Amino acid sequence: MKLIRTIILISTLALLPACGGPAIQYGDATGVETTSMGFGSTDLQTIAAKLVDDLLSFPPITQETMTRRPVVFVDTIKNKTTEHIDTESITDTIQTKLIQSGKFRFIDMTAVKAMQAQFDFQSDSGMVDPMKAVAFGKQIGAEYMLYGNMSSIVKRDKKNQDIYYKFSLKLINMQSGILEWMGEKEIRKVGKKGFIAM
Amino acid sequence: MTRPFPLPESLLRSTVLFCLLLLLGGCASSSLFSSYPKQASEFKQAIATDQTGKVLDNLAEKETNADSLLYMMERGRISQLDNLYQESNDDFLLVIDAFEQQDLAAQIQGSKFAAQGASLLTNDNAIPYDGSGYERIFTHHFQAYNYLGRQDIEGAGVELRKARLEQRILLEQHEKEIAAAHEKANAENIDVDSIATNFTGMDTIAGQVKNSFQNGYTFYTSAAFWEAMGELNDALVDYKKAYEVNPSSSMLPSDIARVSSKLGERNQEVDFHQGTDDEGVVVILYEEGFVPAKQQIKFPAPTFDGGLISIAFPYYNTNNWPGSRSLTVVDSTGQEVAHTEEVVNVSTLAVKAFKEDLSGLIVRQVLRGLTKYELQRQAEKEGGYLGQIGASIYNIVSESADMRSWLTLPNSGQGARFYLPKGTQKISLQSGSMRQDITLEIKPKRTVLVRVVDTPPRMIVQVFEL
Repeated sequence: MKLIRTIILISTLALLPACGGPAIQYGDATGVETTSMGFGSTDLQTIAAKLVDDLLSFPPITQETMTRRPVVFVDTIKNKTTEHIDTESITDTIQTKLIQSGKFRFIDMTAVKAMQAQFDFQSDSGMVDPMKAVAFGKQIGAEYMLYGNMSSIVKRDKKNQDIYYKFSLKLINMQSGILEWMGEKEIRKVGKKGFIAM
Repeated sequence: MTRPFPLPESLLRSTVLFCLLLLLGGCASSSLFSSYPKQASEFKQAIATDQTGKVLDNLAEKETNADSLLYMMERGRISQLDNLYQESNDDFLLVIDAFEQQDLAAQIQGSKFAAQGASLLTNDNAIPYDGSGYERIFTHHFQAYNYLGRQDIEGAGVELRKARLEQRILLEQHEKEIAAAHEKANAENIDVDSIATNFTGMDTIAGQVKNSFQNGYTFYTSAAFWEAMGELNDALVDYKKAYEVNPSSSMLPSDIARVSSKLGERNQEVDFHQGTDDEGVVVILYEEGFVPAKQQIKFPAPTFDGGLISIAFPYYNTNNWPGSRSLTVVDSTGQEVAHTEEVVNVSTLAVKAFKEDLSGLIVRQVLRGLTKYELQRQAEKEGGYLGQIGASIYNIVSESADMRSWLTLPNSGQGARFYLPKGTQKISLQSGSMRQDITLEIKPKRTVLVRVVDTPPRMIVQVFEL
């Protein structure tokens, strides 16, 4: 009977509904985020910061960018992890930081279609003064390509979870095919199960 | 068991009654008192007759159910077979989230404990369904199809990698878990083995596989995908794993030989066709039938005072076990071009999973039987004849086996691979008396995945170009 009483008590407690409304507030966009084990904003920011620092402080690159701003285009970053990670968002952040450093210029391949439409409008619609229309075939070709991949190793047992991410980024010279620079950022996250929760 | 009883008995009795009523009321919509296989037969019927609208609507209510994991697996599968890839994706996402929450959930959970407590008064169906390993693998596998259906190749790759990862983790944990269940049985002083002898009928089926979660069909799909992507190392590993769980396969050795040779390995004894520059690859992924549901059986178990109580157990009736059909592919000239080969028998995985959980199940069922017996004796003592009748009725009504499992899964998963000349090609898919003609756009050196889900009288075909 003791057993039954305990069970009843616990069942009754479990039936009590959760109380209290939602609490919403603004947070620090660069604050450390550890909501879940998955890839998060902190990972994105540390990867971008580390790789940009690496690239800009690499001696041959410093020399190359001393007098001119080379033109770069960003290829996709291959996601080889077990999570759906928006790798474009990582490269966007890297690209932003590089542009703001004032050392590089970029070709944005995602804008090509829209630009094409605008060119067509300027040349074919008859609404734009041909003298003032943007001329065809004057764009500057990219000298470098930025690309890379991201992989992960996940280990998990009954008590712990361990995720290791490796993000590698490469800068290749399009003309010579020489890999001019390569950077890597590793992140390791460890999660431990709690002992008791309601 | 001693029974000190300091609370006023009438108060306790009304509390018990109140709690029982609450449990009955709260769970009327779940599987607590309406057997799950009965609910699922509607899902299967809906798939087979292509009338899923009503079932999908009904399942919408189950999103917040305690067994939402189970219902969302079913709905994800049903929507997917209706080509509702985005909807199916959302459902499987809920399932994957639920599984991932389990991974990092506290070791002792109040809510789980309460459900276990409630289950002692009713039945195992009161414990929220937390899924089996093989179901988790299928969730990722099918989720990959949702990405393929929306032309997201990278997303599909992520899910297939995830399926591989989860299979590896399950394999690592497998042995430890079985040992832990045995320890618990010993600690509770329950003779698991004597009850387990009632289930030996399933051993012939369960013995066909080493464990319940290594899924040859998932490995085969994943291998075909990676091979098409040019990731030959990944493809080779997955073909080898598929072969490891299907050692008598005649198809997989030539897959392994082909990929090995592409990787530059020579000395291959096995004959294989590599395909010419004007040919494209067609991979058939064939899912046939439905996995069988558990049934209920009652066994007597001894009580503390020498009496006997009847306890309901789930089991798989292997006497009436489904055989598997295969699919034949015929080209436009009537020539047979391929014949599928079974790479996983899901029903076998389900039986194996059941056997793996058996010790834990026996412990829970016996403890529950004893609790109810105690309750019945108490009612008899305090409520006299009426109390006894009431308690007996309650026992009979509430004692029902936990027969839940993902039931829209196929009975078997099969594969086949062949080459067709480039251009528009007509092929005919035939299984038993069913036949479906499809047209494929074959590009040289490229792969087309043709997924065929065969649930008579309906044959569902989904084509993914890689």
